[in-house]
Order: sequence, then C-alpha cells, then structure tokens
Amino acid sequence: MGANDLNLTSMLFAYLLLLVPLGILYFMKIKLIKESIIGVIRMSIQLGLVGVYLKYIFEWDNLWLNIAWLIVMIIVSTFSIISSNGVCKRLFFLPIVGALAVSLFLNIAYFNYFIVNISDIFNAKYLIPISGMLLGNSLKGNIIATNTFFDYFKNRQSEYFFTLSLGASRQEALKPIIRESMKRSLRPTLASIATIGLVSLPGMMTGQILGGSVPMTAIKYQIAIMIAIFSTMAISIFLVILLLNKVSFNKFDVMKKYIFIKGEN
Amino acid sequence: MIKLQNIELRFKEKLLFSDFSLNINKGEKVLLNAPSGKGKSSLLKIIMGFVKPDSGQVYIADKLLSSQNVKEIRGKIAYLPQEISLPKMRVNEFIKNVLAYESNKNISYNKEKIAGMLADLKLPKDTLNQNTASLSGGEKQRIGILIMQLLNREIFLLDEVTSALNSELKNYITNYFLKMDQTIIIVSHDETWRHSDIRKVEW
Repeated sequence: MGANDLNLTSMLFAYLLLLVPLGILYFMKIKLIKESIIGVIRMSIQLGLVGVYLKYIFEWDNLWLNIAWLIVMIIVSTFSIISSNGVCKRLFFLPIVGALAVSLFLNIAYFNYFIVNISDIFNAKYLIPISGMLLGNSLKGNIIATNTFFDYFKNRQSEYFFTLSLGASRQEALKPIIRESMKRSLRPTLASIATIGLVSLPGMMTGQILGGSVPMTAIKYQIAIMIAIFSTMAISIFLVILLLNKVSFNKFDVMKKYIFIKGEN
Repeated sequence: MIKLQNIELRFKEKLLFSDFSLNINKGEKVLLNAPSGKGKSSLLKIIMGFVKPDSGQVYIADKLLSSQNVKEIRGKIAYLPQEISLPKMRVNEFIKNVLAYESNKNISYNKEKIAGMLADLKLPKDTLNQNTASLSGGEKQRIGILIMQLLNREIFLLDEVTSALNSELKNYITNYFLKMDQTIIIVSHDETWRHSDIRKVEW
C-alpha cells in the first residue's frame, strides 16, 4: 500500500497553486516574484534529479556510493554556510566539513543501529533520507550560529577588544558570544519541537502515513528523528563554533583581517 | 614607558601616518591632537596590539610588542575605547565578572574601595545595582574608569573618555586623571584637555 502517484495533471494543479502567492506578491509590489519562480524551478530540477538518483541508489545500495552521496550533501551544506556569511572559503571549508561529518556520522550511526535497529547502518533506504533530515536542519542551525558569531565581529569588535583589555583571555571573551550563537541557533528547533503535533504534522510523519505506515509507527519515528535532529544540530554547531574560534584569530587574538575581504576566496 | 618607532599605518589604502615616532616617559600624560579620521584611535589600538601597523615597532616598558608577549603587555595597560558598550547586567555583576577572569584573580571585590571610587567619580552609590543598559553615556564612561582603576594597570589609554560628561564633570574628570601616577595617553576633542598643561602631540 502506498500513496496515490501524482500524474501530470496533478502536478500541473500543484504548480497552478503558485499563482496565488505570486499574485499577492505582484499586487503588493514585493520584489520576490523572480526569486520565487527561480526557487521553484531550482527545487523542481533538484528534486527531479534526486528522484532519478535515489531510484538507483536504493536499487544498487552500494556502500561507497551511499557514502559519496553523504559527502556531496556535506560539501553542499558547507558552501551554503560559508556563503551565507560571506567569509573566506579557503579558511573555513575543512573545519566545517569536518564538524558536519563528525556530528552527522555519530548521530546517523546511533540512530540506525540503536533506534531503527538495523545492523547495516549504511543501508541506503535509512541512511540517505535520515541523513538528509539531520543535515538539512544542522545547516539551518549553523547558518544562524555562524551569522551571529561573525556579525558580532563585524559590528561589535570594539566590545571584544575592551573585554580583552580588561584581562579576559580569548576564550573568556568569546564565551558569551558562543553561548549567544548556540542559543539563537537552537531556539527555533526547540520551539518547533515544543509545538509539534499541535500546530504542524511534520513532513516525515505525513510521508510515512501517506506511504502506508500505521500512525503510531510514524509518530515513534518522528519523536526519534526530532531528538536526533536536535542532537546533530547541537553537536555540529558546537564543533563548528569551536573550530571557527580556532582558525579565525591571529596570534594577537584579533580576528584575521582577510576573513571578510571579498575575492579572498 | 611607551616608545613608538617609525609607525606607518594605512586604512583602506589611505595613509594615516608614516614614520611616526613617539616617546612617552613613565608617569607622563599625553594628548593626541589630530583631526578626525587621522588615526588617533588606531594608534591606541596599535599600542594594545589590536591593530598591526604596516611597519614600525612598539615598545612597552622596553619590550618590543610581539605575539609572544602581547598578553603580558596588555596586562600592563587599561584601555577605554570610545563609546564603550557593557554587557546587559547589573553593574556589580559586571565588575565581578571582570574580576573573575583568570588573569585578575588576585584582585578581590572590595566593597569599601569601590564605594570610595564611586564617590570620587561622583556616581551615586546605587549605580552598582543598576543595569548597565539604563546607564547614561557619561555614567558608562565613569564605570569604565572605575574598572580600569580596580585593575591596577600602569598605563591608561583613554579614547574620548570625557565626551559624554557635562562641562563641570569634564573639568573634574580631567583633573582626576592629571593627578594620577599612571602613564596616560588621551584621545579627546574636549577643550578641558587642550587647555590643561598636558603634553600635546599633533599631526
């Protein structure tokens, strides 16, 4: 038993729905129409390709292919985090890739082995979609966390200098900034955890129910995945901030000058 | 005490100063007097090791400022930047946080001493219980001065430390600093400093 497949007419109706928000944007003269259309086109192409790709990845279920797919996801996330901050790629690429890889691996291995209870933790059917959910949420969290961190240095550098001058070590001076970054990045997820079921039926659960699972199974998966998302986010954000802190400063504890210089990528 | 040798600094390709040298003796008070945008604040940051000059050397107490000794040198200097922003908490909590830094652990929170300093700085006693967010600019500057003094540093670098005070307090605080034993460098547009018999360095 599975969900009704959507035929061409169904998809046309889906795209037709887009005319409503576009109409509102047009009426309000909000310059988001081009972006909306490009966004939907990108989404359609990306998901179309993934659909083709996933069909084969599930069929072949090859260990190395699965791992390669994870690496691609991690690299795309890393570029997305770096470009959202407009900072030097060369300096941050490896630390962020490393932090995302470690946190994702720990959580997906734990999830598949102990929670889903499968011995082959690299089984494509579980590995790929669940990793995607963990990583997608970590990506959002890391963008908020790193933006908070770098914005502080863009706008409030003198406060940091003052703190150093008062005798704080770099670690002592950064502690409140790191706390703030983590708090801001985790808060939206906590809010959505707290309202889940009341306000939204999350995508994974909806998908499972449409796919024919009993609601109770879908709900148990949803609880487990929300906790795993929270854990992956916390670990990855913590590691990313820790590593940023390691690579961003010179020996005078001053943020390296070229970090924000464009073209220094 | 402070020796700057052949300092050159550019900011976004603009030359702020070149071949700038300055020698300041222990206990001396110096006013940096130059038009806005000429790098006065940057000069203080150079002495703190926050800004690296494009060329030239900084000596503090006969030691060449370098990445090896920057922490030790910063430990000799109290620096009050322009428009300091204090984290949002009660003033006494903030002071306690500062004194909790590893490098300040030999300084204790001495209530009587702080009360005396508040009076000296013409701040009401209950300032300690106020939130930093509710302080005026002038009150913040004086809390900054109070903390600098608690830390017992030999050199004071003051960036527009009297800018937010009324004229009576400007005079008072200027004299307050001039009477000190510390070596002091001041950046200020206030007349009170210019009219005092302080050493003036102009460019």
